[in-house]
Amino acid sequence: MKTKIKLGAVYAPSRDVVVRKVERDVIIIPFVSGVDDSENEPYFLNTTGQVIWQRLDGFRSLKEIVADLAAEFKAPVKIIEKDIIEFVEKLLMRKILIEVSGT
Amino acid sequence: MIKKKIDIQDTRELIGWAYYEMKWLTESQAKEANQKRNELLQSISGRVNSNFLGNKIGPGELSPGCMTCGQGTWSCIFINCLCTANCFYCPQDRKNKKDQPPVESGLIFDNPDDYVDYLEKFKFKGASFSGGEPLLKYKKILTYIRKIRERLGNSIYIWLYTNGDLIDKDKLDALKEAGLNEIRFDISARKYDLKAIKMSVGVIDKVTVEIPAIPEDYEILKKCLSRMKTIGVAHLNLHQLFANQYCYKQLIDRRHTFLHQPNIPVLESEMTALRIIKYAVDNKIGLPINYCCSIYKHRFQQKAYRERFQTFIKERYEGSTESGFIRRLAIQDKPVNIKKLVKIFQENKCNDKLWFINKNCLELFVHHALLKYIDFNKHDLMVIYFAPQLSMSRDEDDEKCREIVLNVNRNIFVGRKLVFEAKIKNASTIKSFQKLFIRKMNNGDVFKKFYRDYDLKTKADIDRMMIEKDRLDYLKTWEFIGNGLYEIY
Repeated sequence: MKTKIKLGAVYAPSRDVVVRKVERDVIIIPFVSGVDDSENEPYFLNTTGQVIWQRLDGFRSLKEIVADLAAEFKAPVKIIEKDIIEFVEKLLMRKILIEVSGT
Repeated sequence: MIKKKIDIQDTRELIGWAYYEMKWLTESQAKEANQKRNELLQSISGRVNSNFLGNKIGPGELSPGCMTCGQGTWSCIFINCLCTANCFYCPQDRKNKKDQPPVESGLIFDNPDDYVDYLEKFKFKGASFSGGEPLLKYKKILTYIRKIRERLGNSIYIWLYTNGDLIDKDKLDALKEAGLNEIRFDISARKYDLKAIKMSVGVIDKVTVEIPAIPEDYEILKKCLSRMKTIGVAHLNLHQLFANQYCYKQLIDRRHTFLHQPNIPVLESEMTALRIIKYAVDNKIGLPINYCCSIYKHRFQQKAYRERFQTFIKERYEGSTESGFIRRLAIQDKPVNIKKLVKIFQENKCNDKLWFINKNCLELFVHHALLKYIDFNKHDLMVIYFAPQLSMSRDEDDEKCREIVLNVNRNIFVGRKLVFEAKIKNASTIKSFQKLFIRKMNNGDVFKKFYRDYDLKTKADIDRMMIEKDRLDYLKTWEFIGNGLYEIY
């Protein structure tokens, strides 16, 4: 089930993951067993994913991250917002990210 | 992931061509079934007891007999194999018209004294009589019960399973007088008729109903619960239906769904047992119910067997796992390297009983206490699991087979069978193996460090790391007992 993503919320990496850099890739490995084994498969971050991941630090809200990236990459806010929401949704489903505060 | 795959593969191999006649769950159906079961478990949570690592669920206390089972001190002797009933779920060969002598764990005990010696030797606290229909051998049972009581006094709890077909007041009085503590009725064999139970209450100290949870009988069983309580039934034991070569066809005919688990249990049977429990607690029936699931039997009854007999065959350099397997650790290398390792042990004044070099000097068996002296950047670690195996005669191929003397006329033999072996190749994986299974450190902490420290240079290393992680995970099958109900798939 998809979680509703709030732009005002702050997200952080779960404590139950290990992040490793291999060649140019970043992989995230969850290590908590759930009912569904696919939850324990490594998650590969592409370049865009890495850029977003670095900013999901438990301090900045998604809204701030969107603004930051829109400014840095000179891209429309709506497109960045859509990408970030999709990305955060996936990571929340895999329990890689957790919400630390929401508004 | 690997465990699921192996379970599915094992089930297919075990069943052969019949696999394709049987109904199995798709991935999405399994997900749905897990969710439904979780909802049922949630709905009874806090109102039921969870015994033996969550493997036994139900309201109220367990029978003293069931306690001996969970504690690993129960012996069940199959006094005969013939029966008066013809239950569709019976896991025994009903075409067999020739009776067999009393059997326990594959050993024949046609002399009651030998059986009592066996009970005494292995410190059993519970003994039960099963069959077939045991009351077809009523006089024989009386002899066995009397003998047990005469020699072991009240240190042992004795019960009997029956379908009730042959019960009468005289037999009950005689069984009570001989020292029977509990009688368990399979009322599903007699269309849930409670007459035999009524007759037994007040004569035998505990009267229990022990039946499989049959999905088609949910309504009738539900209606029986209050009556059972009123009559004086002490416990209701619900088993999970399972398939073997003698009953799978009848289970297929009833459109049951089979699960990829040891003993091939039926999904709907588990759901029925949990629904009965929910009904009983929602309606405050007050009848103690014990859901004895298939995985409980696989985990606890087999663990008890292994623990009971492994002490006779385990070498000093071997270890034993929580689930009762014998764990052997071995280094395979050239003789020159094996000798180097032995030299290191000797220099460190290690007890020479803690290692063993096999005949051709290509393998060194080591106790886990010596692993710290081995450089695993140079050596792989073989992990080999064995289970003890009882037999009536010596297995000449097994040089480690031991004789156990029960009395001057009777001995039994304990051998071993290899159940699994794996080679662990990477130093950090071997370190994690030790942390998980020798030092029994927290699973999450161990894997966190494993993932952090694993030498990842290329993307191919990631696959390797995950394979090794899966292998470590799979070893839990032989190391740990397992908590809670089994995942549905």
